[in-house]
Amino acid sequence: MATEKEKAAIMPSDQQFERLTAAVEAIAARATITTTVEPRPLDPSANHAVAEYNAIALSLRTIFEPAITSSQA
Amino acid sequence: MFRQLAFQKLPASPTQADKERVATDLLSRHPFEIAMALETVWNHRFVLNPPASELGSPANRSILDGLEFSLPTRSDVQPITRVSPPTTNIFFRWDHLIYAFMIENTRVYEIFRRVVHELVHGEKLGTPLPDAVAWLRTTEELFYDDTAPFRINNLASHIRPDLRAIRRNAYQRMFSMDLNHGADDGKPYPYVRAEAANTEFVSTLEELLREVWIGMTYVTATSSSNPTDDSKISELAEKLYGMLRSRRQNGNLSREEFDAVATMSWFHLALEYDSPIVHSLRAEANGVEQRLFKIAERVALPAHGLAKNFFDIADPLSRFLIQIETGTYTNAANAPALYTRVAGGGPEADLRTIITHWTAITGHDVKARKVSTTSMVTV
Repeated sequence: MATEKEKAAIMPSDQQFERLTAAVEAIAARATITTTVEPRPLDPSANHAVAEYNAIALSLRTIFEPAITSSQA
Repeated sequence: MFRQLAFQKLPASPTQADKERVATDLLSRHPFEIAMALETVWNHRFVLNPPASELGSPANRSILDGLEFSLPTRSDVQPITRVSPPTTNIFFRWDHLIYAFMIENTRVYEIFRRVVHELVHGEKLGTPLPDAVAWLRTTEELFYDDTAPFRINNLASHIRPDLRAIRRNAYQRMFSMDLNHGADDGKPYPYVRAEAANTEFVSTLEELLREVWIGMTYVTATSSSNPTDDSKISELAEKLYGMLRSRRQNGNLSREEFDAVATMSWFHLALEYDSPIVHSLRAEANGVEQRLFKIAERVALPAHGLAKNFFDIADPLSRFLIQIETGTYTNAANAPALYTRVAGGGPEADLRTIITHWTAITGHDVKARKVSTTSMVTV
């Protein structure tokens, strides 16, 4: 059975705990990965493939699908 | 097919109520009117002008004629299609056969078969609502009966009497895949298996999806090597193009595809909202698959547990395979369109959907890198 003195030696003090928390948060902040993918330009040939695909999708529009925005059209 | 036809009738900026009204109108039409609408769609199929040289391509599916017939219309009833020959210039495109394959895998055809069986034989499921009575009649006459002679989707004959076996034969030839369910007694469903079938369709498609996923993973990478292989993507796309177009030479399988996607879209549309038949069966719910599950429960025939995945993959995969059949991606320079998110849409978002649901329904993780063992190379 650990004595109070031994417990105190094992458990971090309030100040130590705050420093630890701050360190963990700093690491977590650095580890955050930005998942937003910005639209990128394509070469003209691939752009034609995109336009062709959009034309197929538009010709197959169905009644209950979400509205297709003008940018997609 | 019917989901696209209903779209044609929508007013500008439609509300959900508008959509449901239009869909209910379509689902409750006279079976002959529905049949003639199918002929109209076939006759006004998308054809490039001048027609693409190769018969069977998405720009020239068939050389066969449908019935040219216009119904006398009542002044208070609008025709189903906006087409009124000969002045019209409207063209229709129908889904790829893969759409029908995915939808039929939910077991929707078998479940509605039982629904129709119960409703025409007794009152175990109650009596159908007025609009559902019309749906019931059309469904039984058009999709569970031998079609009237001379119609473009009149496929059943003394040579091939079973509509379900006809569809399975088409799936086997085009994708070398069979539906995940057999007959009602659990035995394999009997149908004729063709020798000429695309046995490498699944492995080629999965390899292509794997390469596209690698492209998606590294498309924004700026400080690592990029293993994306556009030439391999185009080679796999060319392989798919070759096998799919081989089965469609001279418009082969076009009528079978037309009939299959029309049949499945009829049931799909009826499940996309709380339609009259859904109301009649007390199966109101949120989501296509939830309505199907409820109806399946009523007739004691379970739907596929992954029905949502099948419903969700059907449209994107149909669009993608149609474009594959145009041959666009046989050029490696076009491959980035498959994995690059660009302003104005494009196939990238659909490919993500396909990859997610394909992994779920097949259990084949196309996001996992391929592992190969080292062995002596023989050439």
